[in-house]
Amino acid sequence: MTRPQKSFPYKFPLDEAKKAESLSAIRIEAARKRIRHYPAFGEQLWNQIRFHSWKHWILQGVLLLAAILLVLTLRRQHTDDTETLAACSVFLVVAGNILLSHVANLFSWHMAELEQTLYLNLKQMVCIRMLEAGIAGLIILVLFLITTGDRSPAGIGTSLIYMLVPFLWSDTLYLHMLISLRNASSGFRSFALGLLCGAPVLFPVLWETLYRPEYLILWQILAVAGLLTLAGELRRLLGKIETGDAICMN
Amino acid sequence: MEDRELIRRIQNGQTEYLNEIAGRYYDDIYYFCCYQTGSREDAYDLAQDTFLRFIKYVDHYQYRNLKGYLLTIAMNLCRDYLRNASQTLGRIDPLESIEHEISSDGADASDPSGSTVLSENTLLLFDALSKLPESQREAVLLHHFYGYKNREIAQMTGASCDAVKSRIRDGIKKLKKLLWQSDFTAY
Repeated sequence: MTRPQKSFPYKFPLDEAKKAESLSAIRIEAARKRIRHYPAFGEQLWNQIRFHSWKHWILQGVLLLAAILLVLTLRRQHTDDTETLAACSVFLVVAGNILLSHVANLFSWHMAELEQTLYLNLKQMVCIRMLEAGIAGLIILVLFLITTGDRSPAGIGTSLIYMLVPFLWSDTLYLHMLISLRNASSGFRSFALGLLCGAPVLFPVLWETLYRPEYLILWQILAVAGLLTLAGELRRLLGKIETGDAICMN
Repeated sequence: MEDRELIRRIQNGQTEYLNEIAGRYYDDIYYFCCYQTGSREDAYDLAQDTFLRFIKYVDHYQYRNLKGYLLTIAMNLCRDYLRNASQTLGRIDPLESIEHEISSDGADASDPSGSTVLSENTLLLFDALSKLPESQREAVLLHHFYGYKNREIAQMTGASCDAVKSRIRDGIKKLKKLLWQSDFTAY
């Protein structure tokens, strides 16, 4: 028995009548088949991006520009590490919540009816918008890490934790409020809500001693807890959409 | 026409090309089902179901290896079949069921010159394969008879590469022993 054989020699003859019968059944099914187009995830993402308003793109541009300006200013003024971290954290939290407020638009009144007319369902749209917000947030985070990290992996890791913790907790809080206070999730109110949820970031800014190395373990615990809570919150949000809970029933 | 092009055309709505795929791979799928289940009769139904299932999900299919995809569908159908067969009918005796069919069909159409040896060898191989455990038989068939690599079989079966390697090794060892005990002549 040699390897590889595309077709093995020990075959017995096929019953041509039965084969023809089988192929005929397949032919009938093939003739009945109506092909539906299922776009790949990348295509869906691109389709969603195309429908964003110009205001949305301007907002994204302004945020990115502001982040770059902040980075350049901090570098020029040779600001000390703690202040740099605090400034970047505040900016990241605010930017993150502004980006996430775009998700809130999906929970407006009568969205469930509108959804029926759309190609994507609410869950897919929420996921895509959160992904967009996440990508934009990630770009800003990387930009800040380049500025604040001391090039060593440990330094970058520490900066990441310092910036991630307030970001995670404020995002989680914002998401929770979006789900719980549905009436407040539109336009200016959701924007204001986002800013309010950024308040936790002020604690380390006010008590800069929290950035000392001895408190790093506390930050690490908060990071893990934040990740778990955010995952739970996302699960709750998607679960509510899935079961047609109050969030999308009008 | 290449498989990739066929799939592209089908997904663009030209469903008539589904027949070309069925015509191209029917025999391969049939023989796989036949050796895997030990039932020459039911293998026609299983091969047909394989293509029907492929037609059902062709909209979602992303082209990589069409024959491998069809064999994976066939493999899953065969697993279901064997599970049901073991619950309802008990063990199938493939040698008994095929012996009569081969003798009534006469010579192997694919090779009339060595037909007698081939038919006997086919019977012996069929019988030996049926004595292997399902997972080993599956791996041996895909590797030695269909030319798939261990990595590809691992993807198709959902097993690890090491598991596939050991299934093939153990399967071949057992198969050699079974064939040596019978009067199998290497052809």
